[in-house]
Amino acid sequence: MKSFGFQKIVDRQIDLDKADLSLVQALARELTGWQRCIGCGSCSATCTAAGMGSFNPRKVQMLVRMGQWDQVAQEAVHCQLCGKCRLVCPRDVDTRQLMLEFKKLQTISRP
Amino acid sequence: MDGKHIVIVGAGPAGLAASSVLPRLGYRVTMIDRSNTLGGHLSKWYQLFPDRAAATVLLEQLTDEVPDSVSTMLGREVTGGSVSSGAVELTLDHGEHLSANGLIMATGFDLFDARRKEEYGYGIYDNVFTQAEIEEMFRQGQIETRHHRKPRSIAFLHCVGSRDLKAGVAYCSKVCCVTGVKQAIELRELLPDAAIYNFYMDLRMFGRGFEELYQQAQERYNIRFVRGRISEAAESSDGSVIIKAEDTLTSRPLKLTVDMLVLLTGMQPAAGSLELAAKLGLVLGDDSFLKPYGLTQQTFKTSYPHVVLAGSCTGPTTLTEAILSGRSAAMALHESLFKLTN
Repeated sequence: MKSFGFQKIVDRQIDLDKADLSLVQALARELTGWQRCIGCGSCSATCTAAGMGSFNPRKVQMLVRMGQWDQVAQEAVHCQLCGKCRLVCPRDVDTRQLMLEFKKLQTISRP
Repeated sequence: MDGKHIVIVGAGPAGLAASSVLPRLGYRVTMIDRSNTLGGHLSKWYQLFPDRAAATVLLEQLTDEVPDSVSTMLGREVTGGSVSSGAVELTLDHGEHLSANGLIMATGFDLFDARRKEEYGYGIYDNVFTQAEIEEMFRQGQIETRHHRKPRSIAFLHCVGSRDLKAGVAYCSKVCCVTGVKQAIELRELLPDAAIYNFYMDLRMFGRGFEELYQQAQERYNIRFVRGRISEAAESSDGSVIIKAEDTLTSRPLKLTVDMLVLLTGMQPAAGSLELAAKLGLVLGDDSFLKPYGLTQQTFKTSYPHVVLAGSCTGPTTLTEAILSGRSAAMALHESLFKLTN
């Protein structure tokens, strides 16, 4: 039988009032350079994993700035750590290293 | 001023503008350029942004303003020099010597060498071009691929050698944005059925009429704008170019095959400018362009009162700015020399 009735719609809004931006500061102490990203999408264009699914390293970087850590950790697992992103970045961001840190985040949050 | 001698190095728009001002103030003026023609990069343009005025007309106006008394030395190079209190000594090729009371550096820029961004295949693939080559095609009135075919699709890539830390270029060259839009419109007029793209990171339409030109490109000329930097290009067996980018606005990777890829290369300090600056002990900024005394005020002044800077030797400038700064630098030098003698 077809299910019928109301569904709870997940709020897509980024609530910057509630977002945990303290982690952005913590990340900045660990790693530098990622703040230079201008969102050009070169990393996503060349990304090995992006061609095969919805993974998007540019978007992950943007989610970091918005404090969307759950989503960051979920996304980062798809990264294959090939490092092509690092080769093409005009702002010399080590996106691979960033993803590696996020993978750790995933391991920590889900033991 | 009592026949005092001023040397202007560079006969581009800034140098020409300066040389039209100084003789009328009583100076004896010598203008030197490496090239055999007047006008610098302006002489290579077809139409100018934003109003698409003919480049030849502006060049003619600028050269007409230069009084006959100006001694113009074309195809000549400054090979050595020194600056001392109140005097400038220059050595030219063939060993000739020039003594002057003042010097205007109007030594301009070079275009970024697109071969340095190997991932785009300039100089490797047949159908990768720079905006300078497209401008030359406009001058010839003929747009065609390296295989002499009419292109059905053309993509412009912005920011090649601009805002690129890997290429050692942190700054924005600022005029490439509007150049890409202007050339896309001109292409549309020659190729009504072609697909024309602009791949950009940001479009910086700061000047009067620039944003309007962008809007026209969208509305009237059907130019397709994609917000994403091309990560790499490859050549297919028929000579077309396959490019990869992310369409960052839909967050999806994108592939496109074009008959021509045009790289909008940025500005870098002219090699000759750097050589001469080193000889004269002029200071460079972090961006390697000549460093003026201030970036808001006294933008023409150097540490020497009788040496001033004009045009794009101090960083990327529009033609309008180059011409204005040529005139302003001439006035700044005049004031400075006046103060020194009075």
